[in-house]
Amino acid sequence: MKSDKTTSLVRINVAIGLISAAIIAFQLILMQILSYVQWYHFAYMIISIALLGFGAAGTFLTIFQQKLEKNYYTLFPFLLIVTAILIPVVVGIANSEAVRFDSLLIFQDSRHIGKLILTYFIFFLPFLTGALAIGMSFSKFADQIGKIYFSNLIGSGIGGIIAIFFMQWIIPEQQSFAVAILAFVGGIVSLPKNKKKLIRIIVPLSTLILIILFFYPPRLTPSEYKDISKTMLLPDAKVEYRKSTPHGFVEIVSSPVLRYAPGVSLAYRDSFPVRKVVFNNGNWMGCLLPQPLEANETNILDYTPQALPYHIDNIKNALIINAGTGENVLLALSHQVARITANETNPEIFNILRQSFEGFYQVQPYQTMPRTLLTPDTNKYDLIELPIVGSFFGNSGLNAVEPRYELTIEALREMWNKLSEKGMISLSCWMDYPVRNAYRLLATISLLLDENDIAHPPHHVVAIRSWCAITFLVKKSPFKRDEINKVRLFCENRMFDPLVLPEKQEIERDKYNILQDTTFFTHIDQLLSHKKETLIRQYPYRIHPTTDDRPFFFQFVRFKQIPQLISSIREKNFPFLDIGYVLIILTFVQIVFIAAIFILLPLSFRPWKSRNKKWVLMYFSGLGLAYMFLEMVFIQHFTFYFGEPTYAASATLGILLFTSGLGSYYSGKSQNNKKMRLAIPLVIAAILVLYAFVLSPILTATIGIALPLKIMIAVVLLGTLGFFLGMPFPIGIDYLSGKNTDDIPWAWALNGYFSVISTVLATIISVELGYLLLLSMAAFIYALVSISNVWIKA
Amino acid sequence: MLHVIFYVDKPKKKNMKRLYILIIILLNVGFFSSLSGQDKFEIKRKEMIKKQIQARGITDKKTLKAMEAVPRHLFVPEEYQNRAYEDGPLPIGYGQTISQPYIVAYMTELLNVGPDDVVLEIGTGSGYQAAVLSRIVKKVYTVEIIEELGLAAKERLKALNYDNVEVKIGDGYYGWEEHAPYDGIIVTAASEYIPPPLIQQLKDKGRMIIPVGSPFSVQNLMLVEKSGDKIKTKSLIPVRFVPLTRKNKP
Repeated sequence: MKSDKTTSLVRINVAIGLISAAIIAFQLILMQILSYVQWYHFAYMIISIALLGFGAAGTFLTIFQQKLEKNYYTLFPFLLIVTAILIPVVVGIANSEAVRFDSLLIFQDSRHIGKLILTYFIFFLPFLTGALAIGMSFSKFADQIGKIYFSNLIGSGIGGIIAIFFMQWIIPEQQSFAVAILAFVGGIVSLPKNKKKLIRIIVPLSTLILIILFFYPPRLTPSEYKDISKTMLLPDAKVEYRKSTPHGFVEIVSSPVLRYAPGVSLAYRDSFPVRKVVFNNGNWMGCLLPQPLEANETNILDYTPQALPYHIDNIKNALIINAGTGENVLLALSHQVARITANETNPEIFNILRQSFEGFYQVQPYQTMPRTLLTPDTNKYDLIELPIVGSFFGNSGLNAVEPRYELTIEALREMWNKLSEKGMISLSCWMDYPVRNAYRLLATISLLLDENDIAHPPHHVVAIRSWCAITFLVKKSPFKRDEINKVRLFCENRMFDPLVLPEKQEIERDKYNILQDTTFFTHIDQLLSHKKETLIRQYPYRIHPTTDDRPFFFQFVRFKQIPQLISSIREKNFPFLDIGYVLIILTFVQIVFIAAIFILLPLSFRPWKSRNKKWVLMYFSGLGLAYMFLEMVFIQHFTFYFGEPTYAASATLGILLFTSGLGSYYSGKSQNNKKMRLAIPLVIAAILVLYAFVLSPILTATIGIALPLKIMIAVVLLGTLGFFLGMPFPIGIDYLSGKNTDDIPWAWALNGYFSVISTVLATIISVELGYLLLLSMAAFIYALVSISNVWIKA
Repeated sequence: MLHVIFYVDKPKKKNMKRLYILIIILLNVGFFSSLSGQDKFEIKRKEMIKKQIQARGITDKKTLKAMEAVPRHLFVPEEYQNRAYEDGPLPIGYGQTISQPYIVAYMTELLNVGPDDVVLEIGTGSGYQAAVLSRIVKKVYTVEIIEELGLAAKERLKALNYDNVEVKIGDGYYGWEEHAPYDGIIVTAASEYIPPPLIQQLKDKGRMIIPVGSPFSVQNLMLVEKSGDKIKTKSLIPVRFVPLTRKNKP
């Protein structure tokens, strides 16, 4: 493309970079907003909506190709400005009283299903207009596809970084406005110089609209069923602190009736302390400790099962995993533990932790994920304590697809190796029914003991049960007689019951807390015996230990149960167990149909004359499917590696998109022939096969090295692959642009369709089969993409 | 609808059958549409007792009679009135729900109280549980922390003449000491702890019931029994959950 007399290609490229950045940043910010007003699983909905926008834009472009191309120089900036206005507008509309849906009411009130669908379409609009502008440019400058695709990918990569910046420094209500500015600047940059009248109308009008939107930002109201909403209904409740971070929206709330006594023993007769509570994205995170802090202050947690380890041994060196605001650290302090190491991932919560224990030389807090702290650590601990798992008598189903790397068998293996000779790991969970958390924890403990060739597992495990929680202690050496007596004494004083105890008596297992379903005791015993596999296999829920490859601790639903659960939704008899995973399955079904309606159906009315249908179908569908599979795999691997989920996701996407952009640019310069189409996907497949073997070992071996070196490793591993990943699509389009342009819309649409469905499909595959298999599937698809070239008819 | 018949003067034989069917349909439609809203809800309520509550093993006559007498549809938001007798919880606003009818019946039966007893309820919500209990016991004291909910429940209970129910807006943590001790306590606003004042205000051998679970989920029931200084808890399972766990015995 030569320089045009109306708008230069350079300015078009800058504008494409800006709109691409805006689209990616909007996607990430929208995910954050939905995590705040609803729950995390809607992130998948946003990714699919964004990709649907791209797919539908391709179809729209096909139908109106000539008209759009004819008016390209007017329409392109217009679409960018419309996108800029739509971005804050749709956030406002979706959060208005009339449109706002509630996740928990979807199955209760059909109006909320309608509202959810409406929200879906509202959010779809800015992605459609933005993607249409990009798609138009791909079509208009098909002979320069490498450069345009380069701007698109580079812009997208930068968008991820900008989103992190916005999340850190701008309040959530104004973040969509900040993103809109990117698209707006893109629109202004690309305005045609020869249409002065148009400029005179559009620029002031759109500026005025944006100013109004700035002063009337959307009001973000969390679901009435979220912790923060319920807390704010308490008398004199007020938000004392608000801070937006890339990890979530942190708020501190106070109320004179906000008490803290999670699952405290019924033997505790003192009053419960009033505390300020910290929320992240509207979810309860912990409470602020009283200040100034006294080292010997009696902690209310001393009356919970979690206090057990301090009552059976003299702990000198403790590691508190995911310490939150520090209640468990205070518990350790009150028992005169000489050295307390604690980690917290969320930087804002970590600051609270650090400030609370400032001046206590015994406490060493680290802002990192547990695995990043554990792997290079050479200390030996008397106690490694994990936070309580699950939620109070509820379920953690809404977190079904949230990975928990500190609860995998690999994590427990590392913890076991860091224990001193008399060391213990303490794992606690809230009681649930049907029982899932406790069984999965014990199954993991049991496997750990098997791996370490422990001859009599029941001699190394102690568990106690209160009216609402269970604590398991797994000890490197067998529990001694006097320690067992101390467990009994602790239970008696607090009205708890021994659950697992060497030399236990059946009668003492439900002295204070009786269970109607006594199969629980049988199951617990079975999980510590050689018959555990039978129970793990036959139990109606998934309770097998989780692994780094499948780290979803709260995913208990077996795939074959899905139809049963969906039918129980219809009967309004839905127990809301593991709802997050069911919602993802339903999202997938919905996306398959909606994407087909918006992307494929309109095209099917147009005749498609081609000799290469089979190739177009295989080549472009495969690229769409496999690229998103890979994104999911690498985000998972690098979240584990960097220990910071948000930064890891942004860095992974940023490096992949940036280097894909470079690859795309290079592909435009290189000689385009059949060999390239055949060789590049094959090279990608080969790299993926190699990564299937070496990626995990490399990351595990280098997890403890300095951050700059880790970043370099990430750039090399991701960048090499990203460079090749950016090539097949422009090479394919370039081939079609010279042969049969009728194929291009189908290529674009098929690629879009499979990208849309692959995001959610990748999540389902990773839950069911693991990330390694997902990576292998991507490699297989790239091999098929390469082979598909044999179908090309000249 | 009946006058349709009078206008039918010697209809032709071949059309007779069709005409009779039409008349029967019209009469039926007329009959059902002429039912007042109240009758309609009464029928639904009787069905609820039979299909949801008795069918699941609730046999306590006091409980069944109380559940049959209390118009549940008047305790739910207007938009959910038609669904008031369905087998599930319903939203009542402010992040709260009205429990599934069976759970209300189960809790009432478990509380095992009679006409001379005094009951404390923590978490009035819509006032439905208090209304059911008021048909069985001498006096119900109920405490609600959310002012809007408490005031609405107070007005509703007054309008429906539940004179032996007293509503207080306040912090349920402290119970209602002036009227203690109680023969039974129901804590419908489940939290992560059981406040010590409530245990103190429970009579010796008295029972406390706590439904636990997240909104709209099937709730488990926690029965707390006081015997001198010792307190025992019993975790009870709702009937419809049992098959899920019993499916595969090891």
